[in-house]
Amino acid sequence: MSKKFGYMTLMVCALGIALVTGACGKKTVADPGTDPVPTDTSNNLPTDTGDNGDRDRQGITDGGENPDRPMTLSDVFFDLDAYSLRSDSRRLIEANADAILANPNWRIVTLEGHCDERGTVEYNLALGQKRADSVKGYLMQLGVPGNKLQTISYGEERPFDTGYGEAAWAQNRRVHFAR
Amino acid sequence: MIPFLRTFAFLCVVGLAGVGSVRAQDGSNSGDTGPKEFDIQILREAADKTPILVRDFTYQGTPRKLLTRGEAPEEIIVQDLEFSDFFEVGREGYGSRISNVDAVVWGRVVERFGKVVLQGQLVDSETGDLIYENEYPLGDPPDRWALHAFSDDIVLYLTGERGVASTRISFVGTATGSKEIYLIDYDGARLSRVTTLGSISLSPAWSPNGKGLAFTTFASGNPDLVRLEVGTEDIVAVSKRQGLNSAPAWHPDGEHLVASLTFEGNTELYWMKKDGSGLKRLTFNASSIETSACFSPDGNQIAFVSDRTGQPQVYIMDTDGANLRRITYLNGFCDSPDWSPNGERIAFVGRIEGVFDIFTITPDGNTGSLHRLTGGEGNHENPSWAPDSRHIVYAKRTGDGQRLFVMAATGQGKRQLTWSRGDQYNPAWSPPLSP
Repeated sequence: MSKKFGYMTLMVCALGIALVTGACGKKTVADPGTDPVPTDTSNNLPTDTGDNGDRDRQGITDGGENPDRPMTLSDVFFDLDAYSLRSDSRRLIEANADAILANPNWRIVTLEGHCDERGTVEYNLALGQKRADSVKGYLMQLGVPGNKLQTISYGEERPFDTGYGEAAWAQNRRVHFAR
Repeated sequence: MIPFLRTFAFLCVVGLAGVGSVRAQDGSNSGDTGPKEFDIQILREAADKTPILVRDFTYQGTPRKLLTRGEAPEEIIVQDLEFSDFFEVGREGYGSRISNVDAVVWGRVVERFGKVVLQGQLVDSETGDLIYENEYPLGDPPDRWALHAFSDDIVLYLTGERGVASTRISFVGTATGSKEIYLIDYDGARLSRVTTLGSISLSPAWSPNGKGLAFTTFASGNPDLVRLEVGTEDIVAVSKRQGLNSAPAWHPDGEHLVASLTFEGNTELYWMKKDGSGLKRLTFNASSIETSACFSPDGNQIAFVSDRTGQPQVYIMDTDGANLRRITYLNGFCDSPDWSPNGERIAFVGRIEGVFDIFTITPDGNTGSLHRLTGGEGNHENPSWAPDSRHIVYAKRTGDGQRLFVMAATGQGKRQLTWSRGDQYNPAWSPPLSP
């Protein structure tokens, strides 16, 4: 499937970028072609390309920020049919909350709720919304102002992994942090 | 005389084992062999089909022509009548083994004032009486929609029930790389794309008169509820409230919708006018999801999905939100209800042992009425009834992606409807359409 191949390429690129930035320790040069810093964050709705638009599951690695503070916001994963937060998810959200609080110049962080392909379109839209809301609720408990967060659900419509089977599905039951 | 088939019992329940305790599906099953391997219920058609013969049309002053896809006009009639499930159909000159046919379909194609017209006739073969006669604008080349109209009239005059040849199915397709709304004829012909939004568009719902579609689209970034008139691309906003505006269902009055909105913080069902005004909240369960509403054909009740017990199950309530009751109890997951147009059954998706299959149940939730219509490999999702309440379209994942399939409401006669690139899913069967 060409779509899947394209996805794999994206994934490899994203991993590559993550590795490079990780290996450098300090990020000195931001590649503007990779993940441009949005110039206007006042209307930071995700633009829909009609494709699986997740650029970087490992999170945002753009430069121009305080290099001593964490730059990446990890995706948070969920169990089947569930929108409750697992303990590993809570730890990831806590790290993400630290990153958001450490970077007050970040404006809006969008929490994108996603589901695996099982279940119907409409229920999964609602489930994705619940997942995004769960993450938002915990972030706010951790002190992140609600006006820095917005949620959107893509249900099962934008899977990270378009494969079939639990390995792919586990990747798709997630909340992605987009800035 | 022709027996009036309306009084026939379509289905005869001959086995009713394992009621209320659905046996786990055997994972070694292969192929889509229908419900026979399952012990919920065994169905069989009790009524013999009426034998009917389609004779070759005669042509006066105009040459015989095939349809653009190469079929003979008579072939369309034969396919339509066979699909209706009421008839055993023979075609003149094609080795028909049918003896003692009850009725004969015949047509005369003439040119009149420059237009090619089909004078269709239905004759009682025993008495020779003309049962029905009408004219259809056949056109040149022959228009399959005119032939479908003749087929539906034949079914109506012989059974009292209208056929579904003049219907289409709306669905979500990914062939362009975006998720757009498409249409396809009930028989797989005339595939066309409705939207060009370059976004994610979902959950098409036919207005009761078949002229409009409501759907959810992310085209402006937020999942908004919109509608359009079929044949145009003029999109009209229904509800663009912050958050989800999803899962639309038209009330039979054609003036109101129910949809799932989250602008008040949780996914709840709301009643609204088709312009989005007059909003009225119907569910108040702050911790659970309420979605996937559909109306009973009289418009007095709503079937929907709620996960208030921890798992999604199908519930029914009155249209004002009163008299809530749960109707599905399959352990696991029940979703995607669709109420049959005759009101007798609700189709839904149930998940057993991790596999999704299509079931129907009576609206009283009597577990003895549970029918399982699919089995075997793969997930079967999103059932939608045909207006005859005798057929269901659904989506199933194949090796090439998700495809639409059509089956009889008995689970028999499964056939693949779509073969396009990408995925095809989220189908909705239209009401009867005018040409």
